[in-house]
Amino acid sequence: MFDSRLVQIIVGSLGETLYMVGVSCGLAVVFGLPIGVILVITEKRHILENPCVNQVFQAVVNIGRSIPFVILMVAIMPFTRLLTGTSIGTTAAIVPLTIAAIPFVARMVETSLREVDPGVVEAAQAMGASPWEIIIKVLIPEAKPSLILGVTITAINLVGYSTMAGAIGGGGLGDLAVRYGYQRFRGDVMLATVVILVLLVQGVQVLGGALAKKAEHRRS
Amino acid sequence: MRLESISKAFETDSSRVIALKEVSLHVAPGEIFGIIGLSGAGKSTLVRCINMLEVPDQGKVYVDGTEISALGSRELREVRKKIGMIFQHFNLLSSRTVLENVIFPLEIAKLPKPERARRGEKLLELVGLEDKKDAYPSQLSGGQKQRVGIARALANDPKVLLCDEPTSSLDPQTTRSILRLLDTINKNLGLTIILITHEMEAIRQICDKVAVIEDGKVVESGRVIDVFISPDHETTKAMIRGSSHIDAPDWAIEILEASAKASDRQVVRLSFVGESAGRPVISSIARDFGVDINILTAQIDHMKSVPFGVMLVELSGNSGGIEKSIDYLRRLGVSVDVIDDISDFVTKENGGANL
Repeated sequence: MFDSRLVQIIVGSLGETLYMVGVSCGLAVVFGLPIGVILVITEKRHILENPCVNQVFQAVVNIGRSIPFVILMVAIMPFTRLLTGTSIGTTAAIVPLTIAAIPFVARMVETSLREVDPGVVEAAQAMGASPWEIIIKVLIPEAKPSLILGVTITAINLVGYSTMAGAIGGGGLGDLAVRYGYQRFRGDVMLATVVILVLLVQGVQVLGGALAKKAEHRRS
Repeated sequence: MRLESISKAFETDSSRVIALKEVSLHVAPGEIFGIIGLSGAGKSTLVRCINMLEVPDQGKVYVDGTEISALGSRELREVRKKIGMIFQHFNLLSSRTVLENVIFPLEIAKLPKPERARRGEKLLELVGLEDKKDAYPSQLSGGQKQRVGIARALANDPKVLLCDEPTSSLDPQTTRSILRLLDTINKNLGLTIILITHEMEAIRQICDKVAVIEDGKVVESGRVIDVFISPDHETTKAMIRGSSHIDAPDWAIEILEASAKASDRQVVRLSFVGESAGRPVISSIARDFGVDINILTAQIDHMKSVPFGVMLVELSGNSGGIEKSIDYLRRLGVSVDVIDDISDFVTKENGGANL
């Protein structure tokens, strides 16, 4: 159905998508996890209660979550150029993807850590654990299955966002679908990209589910 | 250990709830000290004030001579390592195995790794769970979880063990075995234990002293035996009655009612403790004072290891004889309660009598 050149292009696009999603998801976790932790531990009656810090972070996360991705992508172009030296291309697309995903990850982390039994935190405090030890040894390990599922959802969202990144020359499967499938009337290419995207999302979901299950020691 | 007029209030948006009002307690080393109260009485808040999980608004807390309430957070964490705590809902880490849970406090105390595992295994042996070390908490029963909790609380060789309703979510049989374990630990390790509970049964089984707390205040305290024999406060009386009731047969009700009217008959409750339980007091009353004794119901139990008997008897004879008998019994150290109002004993639902 496809000649080898087209196959190469599809594989290349898949690689670009994986690259964008993988790197931005990783970076979003690196920045989003601490923000999520701060959102939880500064809450009332938590280990480092601090209403001021909490409100500031709540506001920042809410603002970040409310900007539509397409607008964000364009709006932060100067910042993107500053970081990557260009505002076009796959690497440049990672910047808006990451920035869009950080507040999302922070909310996911917040929800996961809230589920941790306050009694367990109290027990750790009673043993003389410091706030840092409680975060590293109690909150995060106890929330691990839920955190893994949160990262899975984030990755899947990023697959969706990454197709929009095609608009700024980000490449990837979305870009391919638009340029070949839509603009050149190649329905078969369109269908192929959609099938690959479906499989990709399925794969991420199955993998995330399996990892979460492996980390789960509570009776389900 | 000493608490000096601890007060604590919780603020909510609309109101201010006073949890503790000037509570003072003194707990001697090696003692098992029970704190009993109904839910909402403030007992859990009180025990949390001992290791500053709740910071009291007023008052001072001393543990082992150190004023805990004056420490900074770093020093407080060091002191907490020497105060073990167990909980009603066990509060084990679900992501860690049994052994990993037990060595958690050792990690916090920065003990070297090989040492941790060795101590962990020894602690599990102490609580009888060495074969469960690689299981996860979700695979254990409630009693086993509490044993892990106890092993974990003992990891850093604490001097004090705080127990917050440790048996409240366990069945009666498991409750007894956990209480026995606490008693053994107290004896073998010389550990001071503070036991929070709402079950008089737990107090009776292992505590040396007890404080009854109601509405944030200590309403009665002292040696468990003394409190059991002659409770002063209404709440205490109600809790004791609720814990050691004997159902009297139906015919006893008629006797109770009849004696309430007659002047030559008197129903009394006799409580015997320790040596007085061993003397033939009943027969000597009958002989010396010409009083007939009808035993309506009786129960012998023990409090920690001291035998403790309760008996509901009807004395009949001339009123002088009855009075003398009661005096005589009191002189022998038997606690005598004269029952004039039988309504306390007759429970409406079953028509039986409760003692």
